[in-house]
Amino acid sequence: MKTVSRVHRDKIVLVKVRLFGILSLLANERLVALDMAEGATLGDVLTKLGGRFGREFTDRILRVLGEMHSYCQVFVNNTQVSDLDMELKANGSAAEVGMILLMASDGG
Amino acid sequence: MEPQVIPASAVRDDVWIPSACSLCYGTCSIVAHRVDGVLVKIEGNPESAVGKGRLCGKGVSGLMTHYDPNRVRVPLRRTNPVKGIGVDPGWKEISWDEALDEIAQRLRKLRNDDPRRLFIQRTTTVTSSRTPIQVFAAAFGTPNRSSVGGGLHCGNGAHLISGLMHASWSVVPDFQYCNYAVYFGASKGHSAGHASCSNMGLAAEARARGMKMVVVDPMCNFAAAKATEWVPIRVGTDAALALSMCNVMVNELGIYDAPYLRAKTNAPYLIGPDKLYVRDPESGKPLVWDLSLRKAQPYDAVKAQEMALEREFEVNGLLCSPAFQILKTHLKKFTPEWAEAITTIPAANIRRLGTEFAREARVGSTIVIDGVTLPYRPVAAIAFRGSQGHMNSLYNVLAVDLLNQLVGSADMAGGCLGFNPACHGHPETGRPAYIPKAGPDGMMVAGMWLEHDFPYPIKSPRKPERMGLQDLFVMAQSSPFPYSSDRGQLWDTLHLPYRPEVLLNYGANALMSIANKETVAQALSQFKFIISIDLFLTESSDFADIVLPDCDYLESLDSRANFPFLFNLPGGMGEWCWPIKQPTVQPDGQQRRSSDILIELADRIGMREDLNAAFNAVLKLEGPFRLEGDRKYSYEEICDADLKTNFGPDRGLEWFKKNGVIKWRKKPEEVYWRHFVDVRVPIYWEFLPVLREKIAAIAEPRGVKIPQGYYEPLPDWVPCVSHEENNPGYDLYAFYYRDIIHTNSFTMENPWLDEAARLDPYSYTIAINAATAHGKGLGDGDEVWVETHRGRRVKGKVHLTQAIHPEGVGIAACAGHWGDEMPVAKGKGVFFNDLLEVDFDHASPVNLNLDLCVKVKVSKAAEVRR
Amino acid sequence: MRWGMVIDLKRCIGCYGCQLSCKAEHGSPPGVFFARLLKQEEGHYPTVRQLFLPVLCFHCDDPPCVEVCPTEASFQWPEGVVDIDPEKCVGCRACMMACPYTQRYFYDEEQHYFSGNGATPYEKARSQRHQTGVVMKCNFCRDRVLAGKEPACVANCPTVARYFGDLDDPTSEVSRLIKERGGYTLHPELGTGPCVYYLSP
Repeated sequence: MKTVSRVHRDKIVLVKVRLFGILSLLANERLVALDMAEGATLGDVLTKLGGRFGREFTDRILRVLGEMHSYCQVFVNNTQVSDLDMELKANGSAAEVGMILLMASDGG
Repeated sequence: MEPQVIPASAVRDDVWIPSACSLCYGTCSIVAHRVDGVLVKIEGNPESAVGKGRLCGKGVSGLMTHYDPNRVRVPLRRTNPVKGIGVDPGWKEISWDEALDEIAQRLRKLRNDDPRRLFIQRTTTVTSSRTPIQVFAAAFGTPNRSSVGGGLHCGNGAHLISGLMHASWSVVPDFQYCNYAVYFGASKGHSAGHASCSNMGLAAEARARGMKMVVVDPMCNFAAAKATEWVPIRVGTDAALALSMCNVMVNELGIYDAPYLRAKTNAPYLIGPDKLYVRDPESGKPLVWDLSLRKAQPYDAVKAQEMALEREFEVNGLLCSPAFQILKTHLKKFTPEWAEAITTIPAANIRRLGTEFAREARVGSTIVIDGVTLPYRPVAAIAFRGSQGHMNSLYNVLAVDLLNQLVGSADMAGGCLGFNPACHGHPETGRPAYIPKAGPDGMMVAGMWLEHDFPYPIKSPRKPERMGLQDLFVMAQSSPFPYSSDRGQLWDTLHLPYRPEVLLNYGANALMSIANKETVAQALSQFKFIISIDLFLTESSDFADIVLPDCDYLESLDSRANFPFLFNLPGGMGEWCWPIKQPTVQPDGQQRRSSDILIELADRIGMREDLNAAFNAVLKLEGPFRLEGDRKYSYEEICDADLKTNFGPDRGLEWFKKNGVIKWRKKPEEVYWRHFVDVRVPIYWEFLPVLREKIAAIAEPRGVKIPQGYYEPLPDWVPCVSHEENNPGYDLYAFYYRDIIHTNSFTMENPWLDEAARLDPYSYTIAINAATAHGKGLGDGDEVWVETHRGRRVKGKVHLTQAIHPEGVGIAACAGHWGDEMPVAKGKGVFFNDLLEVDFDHASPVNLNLDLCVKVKVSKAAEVRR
Repeated sequence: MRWGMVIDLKRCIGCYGCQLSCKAEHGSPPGVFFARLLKQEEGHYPTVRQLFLPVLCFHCDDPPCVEVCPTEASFQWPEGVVDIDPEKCVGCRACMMACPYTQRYFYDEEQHYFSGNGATPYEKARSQRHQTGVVMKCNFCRDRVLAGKEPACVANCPTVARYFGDLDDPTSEVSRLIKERGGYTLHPELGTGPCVYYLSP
């Protein structure tokens, strides 16, 4: 994951993360509001969520460091994103992130 | 939304409504003729590329399932607390409100406690149930889903290999250009299934054109019945034949497509003494040997034609070889003479088949299609349900696909095609667009999948959290462990952190479709509460606490009847086509659509926002069509959003209801994508030994043995349980096969289909070789017991035939109903699955496929004393 | 103008589509099949094939069923379709004995597919139009053809194994197929002049 090279203390991006399904139940939250430094990436957001909700939470999202499980769907400002290096930009007042696990195949 | 019951007499109309069939999962396009409120005919939709206006016998018979008086029409609750096979549930009619209230209450409580304790089953037959159930499960938070028998028996090998090697759900010959197709336990174009009616037309055209079809199968029916050559084989030994054919091609004839192997597979990747890739120390990328530079380089730094395929090289002090060299040496032991002993196919025939396949492949030739020059390899080796339904499922199917990979016919003109692995999208909207791409180690990641955990990259195994243990056995899609006799022990020993409590079943009949009914009955009894959404009260419904009456396909809605295209759209050149399914009549009782039931339940449980998010994610809804927050949407609105997302704001549900389908031409760059996309597939499954280590690290300390023999990087011959059994008297191999007139256990209740089946020589009988039967003193029509040495047995009438291997006992479909609530189906046919064990010892330790062949003894029914 | 049919046994895969689309078109009662599929094995293990043989009334040039009918209920239309006027039929079944291809059925009394439950709405709409006490058979879907469609079995066949057209027109598809592929009839030695031709499997 790309590290944030410049930190502007004054420039904060408000990131609103909406959790759905099992993620929401694990975190016991629907909406998590995070203040991230400008230039923060999706990966940075996941790190912060992991810090708050623990390894069990991040294990469900990340296949290996730097890569999400294919069944983890993340939407940033309503567009599906799988690149963890993507920089989050506010759409209006905040960057809207939605996360859901579409786990389990049933074959057939 | 209460369904409106409109008395038929009140309506005056005469309309043809475009929709989609659901008598099997083929979902061919139909037009339903409704006159004065009554459906009077179902025909194919000539506007659609799916079926091209024609239907098989099942499709035209849908009327008799629709109007079956035995359909469930009201919600029911059991009053008898005792559950068991043949035990009367004591059904009492209740209101929808009462039913949904209770179900929602239980599920809400369960969700707050541990959502994983909900297990959801669905029948594979009704493809329109896939999205609502995927969505509901994701919103609820349970990873536990199953497509029951249809999933477990049919796909762990076929879909895995098709996914990894062809980025699709299944494979089919390029009928329009193929000259030589070899089917291993498959009947594409001669029976039900993926793109069934379309394939029937394409296969017939190919046959008329002169395409040779060689069918390897223990029984000569359907495809084999029309074959240029039927190759009778001992059941479950397909890998031996395929590997031997590969050996003939590579080592005896020296025929293989070297440029294809260099550019499109991991054949040139260097393999070290530890069986793993030799990797670049800096980047970690697998190395290949650059013949011009005379040194090892990362695979993506070398031109394909410079890569070595053979010999041995020294890299960093270690001796290593390209994977192809390892394969070449590995294949040597699979001589036709060796294979004859295992398969019973004469060595001379095996040698001839390998030679024919190699020669017909025309390695090196090209063809021009629609102005585009493409590699031309008019041969296809196709494996499906027959060869994949065994312990050795993975190697069987992989060995068969190796034939395609070696001659470079995979997704090339005339060759073995995945069903639509790549699509550039509608010319106006560019949707839906997906294409395979390179993933870890340059191996192919599918552009699209039916589910969201793709076959590649390989997932990391972990301590299981899923009932089916698929998060430990990551090569498996479907699992027997929710039902197996040893599930309790496995869950205990592997520390499954919860036990299942509630089962939500959509239309499946697990008691019949999985394995022997006693074991499955125990599994069903473990649930504290079972909800079953059914068309009919089946043998499994008897275990339910609440039954909800289902709308059938003629009363239901689906915005994506044949999407994903990987599953149900005909492959090869032609047209892209996106049909919908729409209601053609209102239900005549209190039946509701499962999509509506699940939306309603989600509401009552309090997970509307999660449901919306899941719909957005699964359907990939975009822009103004995304569902917002926790607004309540009807399924009509959701379908409308799906269609507009893909085809623009002017083509929503109303447009599709009127027009039925949208079509646009396919391009060679889409159909023959492999020639244009820089991706590789593994002919050497380097990740398997690595995977085994990881799985064993978790499983073996807990007493679950993971045999190495199933996790070798190259396909091998591994016998099934039945091949190793040697109990005197149990000398025949019993198997079941898909019948063209029946789907799973569903259609025997349809009186038109049942009538045809009763007149068919094979549908309801036990097929046995005439000479074998005479040797046992059996005459045509005799009633017999077919029995395993574990005492499992089924009874039926034998049909003496030339059209089966002398060791074979062939039983059609999943028949032999005993329940009273499907009175047409009751007593018809033979219940093969009752012969099957379901436990760890009878499941493949790599992809969890259930072993579906059994060693049996066949004796006249009167002779058995009990 | 002589209506006839060609069935390509090379294409047919025995899917029962013809048998059942015919039944759905006409609402024929239980046990009655205007079109039917027969199956036969050929050869000895291991050299075996199956023959899938769809059959129906052959609308013969010289139909013995018409000849024996005492009431002129069985008759032949100008284009060759052999048909039955149920009003005139008295159910003597002489025609059934005369037909060497057993393609006629006697509808005894009203039967339903879900016996004990009465007629389904479909059967009320399509099956109850059939008179009981009379003989029934294929009539080449005459109404459909006159409306510009093909017979139901022809239109439906998923392998496109069935063709329908004018045998008197040498350029029609049926005529050309018979000529080019050596189309043959069943039991021509019986001399009835069947107008359904088969192409070899």
